Amino acid sequence: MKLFTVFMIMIVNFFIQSTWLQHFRLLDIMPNTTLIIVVIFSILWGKKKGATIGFISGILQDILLGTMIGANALAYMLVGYNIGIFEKNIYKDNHITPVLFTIVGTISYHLLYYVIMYLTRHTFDFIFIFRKVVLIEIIYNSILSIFIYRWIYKITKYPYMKAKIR
Amino acid sequence: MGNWIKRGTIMIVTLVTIILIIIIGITLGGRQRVSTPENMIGKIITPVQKILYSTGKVIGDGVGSLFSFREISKENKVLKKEVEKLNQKVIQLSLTKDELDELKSLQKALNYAKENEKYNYISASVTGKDLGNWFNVFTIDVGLNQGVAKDSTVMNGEGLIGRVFEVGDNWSKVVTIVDNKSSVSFQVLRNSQYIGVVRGSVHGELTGYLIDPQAEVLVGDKLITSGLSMYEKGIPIGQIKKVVKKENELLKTILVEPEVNLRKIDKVFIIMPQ
Repeated sequence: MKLFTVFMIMIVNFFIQSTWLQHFRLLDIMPNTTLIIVVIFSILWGKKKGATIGFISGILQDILLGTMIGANALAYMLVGYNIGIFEKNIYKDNHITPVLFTIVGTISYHLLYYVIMYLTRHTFDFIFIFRKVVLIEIIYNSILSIFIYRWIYKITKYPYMKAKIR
Repeated sequence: MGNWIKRGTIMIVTLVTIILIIIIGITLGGRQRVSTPENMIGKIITPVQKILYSTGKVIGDGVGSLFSFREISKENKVLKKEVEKLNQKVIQLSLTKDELDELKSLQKALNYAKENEKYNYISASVTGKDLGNWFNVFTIDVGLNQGVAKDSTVMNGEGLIGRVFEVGDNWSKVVTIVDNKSSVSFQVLRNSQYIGVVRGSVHGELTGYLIDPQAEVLVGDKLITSGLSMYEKGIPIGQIKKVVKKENELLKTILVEPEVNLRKIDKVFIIMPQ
């Protein structure tokens, strides 16, 4: 049940982000809800599940809308894993927690992505991207993460989400 | 035991990272055909996306028009002026068209070798767009079954949009001209001697340069594809917004505004390979 719910959240999020959110771009930038969800799940459930969820949602995105398979999967997986390391040491009831980690997650996602792009010989001006893309995306993401965190936190407290599958 | 499991996670993550890097390397340039599992996923997801995308467009346009009606009324005035201008042009052109028809019949009479300029188009609708802010990729609802091949030119009524990057059975990915990966060879509409290359950048702009350093281009010049790159000839690309000539550089750099508003595309044409 847990697996199914998470999978459904990922798929629905993918649909919404690739279709509806596209029409509501502000300043040409749109919030990355996939990243927010990956970050939130790794805050709540730790590095193992964070990495898995990141990998799956990344590979879905790569297959359908990426120019190379694996770039997003790699970035999301590493973000999910590294944020999941802090799982044991943070207050999960605090509303600042998701915002803080979303900011960290967004920056590290873009840094990782930049490294991948650099290795695949795409030339980007990072300062330019940071000013025009990353800063605005951080603001959007951190605002959205408050609401998404509240919602996912509620979902994870339902009894059927606690039942172990294995 | 616990320690071993802890290390196991790191090992798995490292292993997957290495595998992913290899896959990135393999799939870097876009493939002729996507693999079967990808194709399956695309087949399932694209139809749903198509419906959602079109409903989203209706909602987005509705909300957008609420906020931008002042702009629209301004645009209306500009467009009315343009219609007047164009009407005059139509009259002029219809005269030249008669002349051209005469010349063409003459061409036929003289058994002139014809250029095959008739393309086959098929139309497609956009199903979804790239999630990130780095690239400019979208998917369309036609693919191999409809005869689309990799690197076919994608355009709409206004101008060039991009090219097909990867093809599935009934879906394909399109890379737009403002994407980082793309470069288009153009010629200036006013003077077809002036050719050059435009490239995309992250922020939806086209920058390019002219091969002839002596070429005199002006702001407002229209660019069309020259047919030297993989795009078909004669499709409008955009207008020159800025011309930069640096002292220590030989080539003239230009900033181009694309003809098509790439954020608001819905229906596209694909030029079929002959």
